[in-house]
Amino acid sequence: MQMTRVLSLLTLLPLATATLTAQHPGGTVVYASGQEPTLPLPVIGQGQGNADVADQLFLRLAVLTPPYRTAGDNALKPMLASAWHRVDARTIDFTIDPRARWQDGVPVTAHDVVFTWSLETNPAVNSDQATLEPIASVAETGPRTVRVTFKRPFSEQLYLFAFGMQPLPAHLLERVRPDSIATSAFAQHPVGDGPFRFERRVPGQLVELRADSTFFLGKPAIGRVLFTYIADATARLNQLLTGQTDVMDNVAPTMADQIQAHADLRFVTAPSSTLIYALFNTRSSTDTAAPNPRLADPRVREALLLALDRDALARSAFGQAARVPEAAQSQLWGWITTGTTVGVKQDVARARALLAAAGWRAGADGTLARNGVPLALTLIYPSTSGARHTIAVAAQQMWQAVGVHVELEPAAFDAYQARRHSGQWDIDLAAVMQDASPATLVESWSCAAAHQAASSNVARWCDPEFDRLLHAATTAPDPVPAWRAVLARMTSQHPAIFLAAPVNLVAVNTRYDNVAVLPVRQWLALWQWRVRPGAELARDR
Amino acid sequence: MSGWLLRRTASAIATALAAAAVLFVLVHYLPGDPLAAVLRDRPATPDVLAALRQRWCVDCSLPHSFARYFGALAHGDLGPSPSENRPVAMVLAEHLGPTLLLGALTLLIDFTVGLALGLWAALRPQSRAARMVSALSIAGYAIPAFVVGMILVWLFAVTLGWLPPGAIADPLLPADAPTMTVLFDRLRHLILPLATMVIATIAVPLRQQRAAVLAVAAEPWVLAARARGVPPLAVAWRHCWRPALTPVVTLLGLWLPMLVAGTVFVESVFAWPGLGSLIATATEDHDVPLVMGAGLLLIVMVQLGSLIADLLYRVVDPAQRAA
Amino acid sequence: MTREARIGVTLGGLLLLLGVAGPIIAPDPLAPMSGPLLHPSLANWFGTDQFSRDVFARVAHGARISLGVALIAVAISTLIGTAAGLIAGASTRSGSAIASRCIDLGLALPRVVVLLVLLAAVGTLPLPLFAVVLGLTGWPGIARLVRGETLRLRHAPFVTAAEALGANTGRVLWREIFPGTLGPVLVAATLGVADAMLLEAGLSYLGLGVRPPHPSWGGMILEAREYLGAAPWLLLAPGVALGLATCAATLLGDALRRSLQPDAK
Repeated sequence: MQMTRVLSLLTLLPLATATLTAQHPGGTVVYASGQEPTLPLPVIGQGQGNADVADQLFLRLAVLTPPYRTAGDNALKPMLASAWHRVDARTIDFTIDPRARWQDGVPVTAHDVVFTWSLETNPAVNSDQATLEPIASVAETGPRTVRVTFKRPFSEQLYLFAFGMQPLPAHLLERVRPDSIATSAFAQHPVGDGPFRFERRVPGQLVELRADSTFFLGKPAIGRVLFTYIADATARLNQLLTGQTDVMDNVAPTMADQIQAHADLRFVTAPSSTLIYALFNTRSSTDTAAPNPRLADPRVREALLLALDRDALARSAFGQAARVPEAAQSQLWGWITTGTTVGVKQDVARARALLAAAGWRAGADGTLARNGVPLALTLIYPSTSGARHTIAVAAQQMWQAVGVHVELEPAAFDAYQARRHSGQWDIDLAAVMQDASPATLVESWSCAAAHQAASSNVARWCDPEFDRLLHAATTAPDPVPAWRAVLARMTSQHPAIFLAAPVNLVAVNTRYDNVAVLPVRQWLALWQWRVRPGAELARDR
Repeated sequence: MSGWLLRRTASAIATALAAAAVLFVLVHYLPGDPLAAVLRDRPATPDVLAALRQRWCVDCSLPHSFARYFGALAHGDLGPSPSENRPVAMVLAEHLGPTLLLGALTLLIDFTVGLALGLWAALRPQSRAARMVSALSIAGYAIPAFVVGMILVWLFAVTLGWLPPGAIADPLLPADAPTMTVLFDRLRHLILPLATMVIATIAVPLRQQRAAVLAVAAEPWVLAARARGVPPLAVAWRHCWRPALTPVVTLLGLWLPMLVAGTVFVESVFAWPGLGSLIATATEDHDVPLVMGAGLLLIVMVQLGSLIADLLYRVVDPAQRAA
Repeated sequence: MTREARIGVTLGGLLLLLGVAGPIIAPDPLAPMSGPLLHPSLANWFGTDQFSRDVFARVAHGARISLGVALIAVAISTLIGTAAGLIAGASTRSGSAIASRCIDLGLALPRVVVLLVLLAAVGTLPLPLFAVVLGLTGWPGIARLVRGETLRLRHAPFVTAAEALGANTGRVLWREIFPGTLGPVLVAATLGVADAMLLEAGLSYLGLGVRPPHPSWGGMILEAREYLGAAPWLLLAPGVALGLATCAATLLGDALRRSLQPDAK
């Protein structure tokens, strides 16, 4: 009895605390991130959690807008750069918006861009140098003009530089040694040029941002954004259901019912850059110098594809909105193909016939065998991924039905990564976040990557014809058919079974209007969200 | 006494260092790509790779990296964390507080409420309520703490909405909130994780205390005191409880490792930003310096715990002082 | 036998029955039934999970796996722990000093951290190897116990007598002291089974335990947690089974302790 009284007393407290907030922050968004934003700076901070906060603090030169077509200059809209013009096929001049100010009042200049470029190209600060390789130089040509020179002509130049560049304030950082920026006072309290300014960080708990009322593109309608840190997805769901948070991204279908039943929550979707596929190792899992004894036969690879009901797998792991792609193409690359292609359907009879043609005969306990060797394969995935666990267990059942025994070997994320790179596996249930640019296919699927140590082409797949088409597509005058040819070639070779291209299912509180979640960098439009008048909660007043 | 304390402290430090060395060797020889936490599967050019391999001492021999790590440690430097891009000490400092808060309160409740219940249950061996308490405590111990936690969250937070489902504080609480408000908010967030930890651990001191008191109660001097007509409460206090304290104090020394094990599994259920969840994510990311740093901290805590227990043991049991 | 001991024996017997007979009467724990997330019914006693698998069959097979892993692990840690403890407590020579240092070192390393580091790096292990790893990290507690007992017994009259009759150290250890430590070791081992089961469940819950799709109770709890509201039987079945098993081991251990120390009753 007494316990109940104490508890009910405690439940009244949030109301009491809310009325104490004197500063009237205005509309509030509370978002729980799965990674703690500890260092929300572009170039220096690592990982999604930091990048999400950095997106609110530091502007990009330009933003990518629907249909997110990275080839050509049309899908990019001005942000920090008010204009740009092409000098020639290898040179672009950018003009920084003269209204842009750092939050300490200092104007944003061309020098900030050049300074940030020097950080990006400093291996001690940024390990991601390969993507910057096509850029030859970045130079100040005036107080507010920057000239970028590329090493060769290609169709994604503007996207590569303008979307990737998030300048840092040179006047605050030039005197800090590049490798100690992470521990500097600036990192504790960043000063940006974006719609929100940094208010405070409570380690292990949250980062609080407040709207910058002087933001040159207009005062944000949301007054305050709280990025809290909740590592566990189930805990994040509980936070959302109990009204502690307002937004949850990448909602699993197992959680969708509970959210749907909640009166204060609704769903919005965004094209997701995520792609799930079962990659076939071209090398033997026991002797990585030799070809894979079972999977080298294209008939076996095709049979493994036909054995699967990919629609059911994609739905069980990602819900109704997931698509089944035919090549390495997430929904983000919808501008290449619209995604309406009807793909290969499950055909168990044909799968059996193909395996029989490849010499695999019925063996002991329902597993096929050839010369006394059973058709057994190992499948690896990270044990922390609920979606891939769901797919792995269900796919294993489907493969066993055609006589292929697949041994599941999940591991902690790092052990999984190490295993992928070691080549000691047959099938890798991979998930990638694709870049907006299809040219990044070269990293995981080209012959050059196959020969490079530690590359993400872990299957060592190499098809010279695919490489030729890929190279042609990056410079093609009409990129759409060229990229279609690239993807069609991949489909025909069965280097992997492409399982799902999910949408990003985002649950948001119904009190927000003008809600937009973007692919690639999902919260770039957060500053334009609004709380519907009359629907405010205590935290919004 | 002070001579003993000096010797005991020296041996605790030596043991902690040896344990840290063993952990270092173990981590050094385990498979896993130390650069995975830095690169996160992004492409890297060969010269960047080479620079990174040198910076993180990837190709170093065991003696070399051993000397490097413990040399820096001698200056109090735990190195940088590759996955966080910040000094390990900074990361640890942020996670130590929440774990200590949860652990210390669990310890406090276990050794006050738990001991009191144990004494009470021992003094009423025939009482139905006492048996019930003892049985319930065993059930709490037997069900994994994270299952208890999941059920408590589902019931009290998601279904009834009485308490927050996790995290250590309300993010909406302003930085300048009055102390009382902050305290109440902490309390609200503490109830469920603390209840989970206590349910999972209280059986041990409770049952240990009950058994110890029962054992002492059968001793001739207690029977004699009873026969003399000393009131039951006085018998309990003077003759049963004091002697029965010794085994409980021994237990205290074993308690810290147990709390550590508990927090690793409980913190992730409640999104409690402590060392337990940090270790779980750091091992996941193969962040070797962070794992080493956190491991070192736990090793020190364990040694400290057993040192304190030994000290208490000598206070409680005067016979030990002579030894 | 006390009431608690009777409860322990009954529970333990029931679980053994579940592990031995359950898999015979239950369907294949990996095969799909008629649909996912079915309520408990006559056909599927504990319902089905999200992969349409029979939960009763998985709990029954899980009993074999969880109990089996715990028993192997405890057998290994008891063997190592007893040997180390006997050597450490036996004499004052350098061998015992080294053994004693090893025990202190083992106690200083937090078991959960070592297991997390190890399993996160090598990935999920095949069942027997997983049990061995659990066992290899569990011995210091038992070693300390045996060391204490050995130190106590070393000066017992019958040991002094044996030494006076010219028995060498090894013989004294084996014939006189070892039998005396058996009782406490048996108690510790029984309690260790409970700890090993809880630890296995915790590691499986973090995705580091028994390899799927083989059913272990901890792994089942991990798979069930997103369905707590929609299909609570998925969590309750393995959770209760695990709770009962741990209870049985704890009660049996306590009962053993009491019957070995009759004066402490």
